[in-house]
Amino acid sequence: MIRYLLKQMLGLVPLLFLVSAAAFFLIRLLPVDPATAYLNSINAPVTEESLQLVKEELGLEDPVPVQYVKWLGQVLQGDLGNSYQTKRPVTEELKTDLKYTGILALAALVWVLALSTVFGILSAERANSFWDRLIRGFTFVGAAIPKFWLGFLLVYLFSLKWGVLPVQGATSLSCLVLPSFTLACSYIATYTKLLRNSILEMKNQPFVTYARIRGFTRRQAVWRHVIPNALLPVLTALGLHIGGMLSGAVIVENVFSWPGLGRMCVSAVAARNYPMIQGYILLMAVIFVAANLISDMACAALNPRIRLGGNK
Amino acid sequence: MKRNVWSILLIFAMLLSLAACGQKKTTEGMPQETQEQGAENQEPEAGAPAEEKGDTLVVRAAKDIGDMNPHTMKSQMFAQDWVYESLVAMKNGEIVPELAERWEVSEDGKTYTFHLRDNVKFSDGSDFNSKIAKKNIEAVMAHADGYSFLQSLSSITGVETPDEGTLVLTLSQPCNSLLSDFTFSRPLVMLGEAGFPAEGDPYDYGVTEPIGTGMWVLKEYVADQYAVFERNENYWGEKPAFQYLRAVVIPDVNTAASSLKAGEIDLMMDSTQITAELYEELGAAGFYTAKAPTTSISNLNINTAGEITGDLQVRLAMEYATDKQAISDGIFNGLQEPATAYFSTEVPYTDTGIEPYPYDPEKAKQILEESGWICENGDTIRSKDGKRLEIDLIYDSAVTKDMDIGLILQSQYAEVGIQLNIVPQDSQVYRENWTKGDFGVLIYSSWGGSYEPYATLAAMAKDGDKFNTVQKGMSNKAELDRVMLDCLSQTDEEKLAENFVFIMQSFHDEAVYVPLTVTNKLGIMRSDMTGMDLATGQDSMDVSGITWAE
Repeated sequence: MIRYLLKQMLGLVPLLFLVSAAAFFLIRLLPVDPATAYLNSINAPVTEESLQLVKEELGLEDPVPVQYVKWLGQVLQGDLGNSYQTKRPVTEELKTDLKYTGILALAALVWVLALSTVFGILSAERANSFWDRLIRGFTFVGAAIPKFWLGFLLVYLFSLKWGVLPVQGATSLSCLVLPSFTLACSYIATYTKLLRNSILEMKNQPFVTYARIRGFTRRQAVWRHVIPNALLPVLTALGLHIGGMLSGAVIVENVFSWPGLGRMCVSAVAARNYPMIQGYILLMAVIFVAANLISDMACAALNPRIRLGGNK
Repeated sequence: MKRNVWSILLIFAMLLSLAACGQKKTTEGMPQETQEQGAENQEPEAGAPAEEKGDTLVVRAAKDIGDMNPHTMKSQMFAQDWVYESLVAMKNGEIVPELAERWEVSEDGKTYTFHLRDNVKFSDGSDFNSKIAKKNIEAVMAHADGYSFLQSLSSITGVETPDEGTLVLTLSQPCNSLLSDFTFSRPLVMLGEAGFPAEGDPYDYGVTEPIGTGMWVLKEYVADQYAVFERNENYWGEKPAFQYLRAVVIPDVNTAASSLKAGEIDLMMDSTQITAELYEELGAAGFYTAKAPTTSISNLNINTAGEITGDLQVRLAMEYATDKQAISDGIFNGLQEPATAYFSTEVPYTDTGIEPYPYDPEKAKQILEESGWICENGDTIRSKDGKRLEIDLIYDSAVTKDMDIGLILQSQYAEVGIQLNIVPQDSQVYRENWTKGDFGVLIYSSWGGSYEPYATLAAMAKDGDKFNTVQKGMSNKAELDRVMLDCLSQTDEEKLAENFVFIMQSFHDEAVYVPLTVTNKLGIMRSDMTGMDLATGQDSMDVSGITWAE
């Protein structure tokens, strides 16, 4: 397991290198350069001289490959540069935003794990019952409902009609409930369905029949053999989705005035704030890889037959 | 194995509670009153505002207030207005005293003498006097390139302080915008000595502390979430009724409306985001609503140097084909009145009495017909010399109401045989295409406020400025530029008025702009409060007079 972990971490180096290059060069294809955008944002006239001045100030006067090498050198020392807008270090800005988006995604994850396991197991165990139909109905609606609409619906019910939760903000734990559920909803639907199908499939596997022959009760067979195996695809999918939860929270962040990476990224793109966009992309790459790694390890923990890295 | 599953869940739950503990820290260190407000925020009384009449006024901010540097353009103007003041201010379009009690202008218009208010103190207790005023003005002048909209900076040659209470500005040439330049929320506002960085200017090195003479003092700031201001006990004028002012960042206007209904915020006001529907809905729900026209006009800018729009007859046809009333009714439910000219009638000298083009689609068709734009082969869109009458309308995709306006215009122009292609663009791309002249028509709201008329005229006369690009194809552009520049320093009132008649007549005759509607500033407030004032510029938020209703 440790060897596997080390190997994966080593694999991260060329990957991050590729991502950094892609991030760096691709965002430079965006129309309108940052110097012009910067001048626009402070209502200054865009002239040859002012552009030159700003380019020098922002370190944009070198050819792009030279800029990249300089930037990469900084990154290797843990310095992602300074935001063009606030002039503060990108790492500082990302840290604050990541904290809030992280909390939101984590809370959403709790919703997803708690509800989709309960719904998935219930739905599979009572296949074709009233509950199964109800849950399957929910999975259709939950997967299809647009996030902003669900957000406003929840605000209407819980904040305006019943007055139990705040509309917006990030100042207390109660502020977290609605945005995290909104973010989680479509994932709950997906995982419920995934788990239900997975359990039903597992039930017909020979090892389950064998367990019953060995004398396990039906309940024991389900809990010890069916569910752990059925959770594997769910965990693998989660590994892929955690990055999506972190990066895809922008609508939820907007509806609930939740500060975070999504809002930051949108304004960074609008302002052509290159260091912030690059920092964001690198951070997301690390998160995606790390989440995959964690889900791989969780799978191995659940199923001893999975030998990570194939060590003997 | 069952235990494994549950332990994973448990770990996540623990992580979450840990995160939540870290979260709570943000409210620590807040003044007592605001903490109470925070508690009230957590469990709002839905629909009805909370019973308790607290000491904190909570307002909505669409964006983070920024770094509160008074000499740069990166903060929200309303917040800068709360903390900083200038020599003079603008109210209802008039220049009124602020830190200067009165002022005199020499005959030749080259010397301005300001008599400063006595006993004014900064929020840190230090004195406001001519010395610190000079320091601020000179710090701004050192970065004149950064403020293209301030015409006066290039004219000021000397700042003198004959005594503590007198400030004298000498100019190289008369400058009609000098006083209005001092009414902007930034950069010609006064920062206290202790706010200046140890080295260099605030423009480059930021401020150590936002110290101003204004009504409010920044007390606490959590980026992208909220800022708490405390009443400035050193304030020279009438102090506000509330002790605390809390600006909560709520980017989405619908969320802001829900927050208002839930009693989380007390009021919201702005001139761009609040829709007619929200305004009416909240008014019907019992909230106090108010509106006031601003001096910002939503205009259709026609590219006079465009391939098709370069044809004056096409531009004239568009003037006649535009039904402003339909836009006013259809998008703004009548809240925004149809506009009559590029500038608001409130802007000095610009109300020249020129009759705007009436809505007359038949006349539009006739003009096009006579100038050779005809419908051929059953096509409902006109063409001339094999070219179809297709025009690209670009707009800033961040301004959703402009899309609605575009859709209405599209159907109005289709009636007379003009095809309008609506092209939403990212703010930066929109600005760049505008500057380069790469568009047919575009929608833009004029600057309004202190910018009008001089800063706008200067931009229009400046080669390379986007405001100039639109006018490039006008037949009298060279003469127009000369007259616009003359306005900036013309001291003869009669000549000045004549200049403005020429400018407004040129805009009209050359059909450069189709004035659409007058932008309104809208305010919505809980019904048990009173004293909302919408008279200041569209970007400011004057909350000084707000109190609990008797």
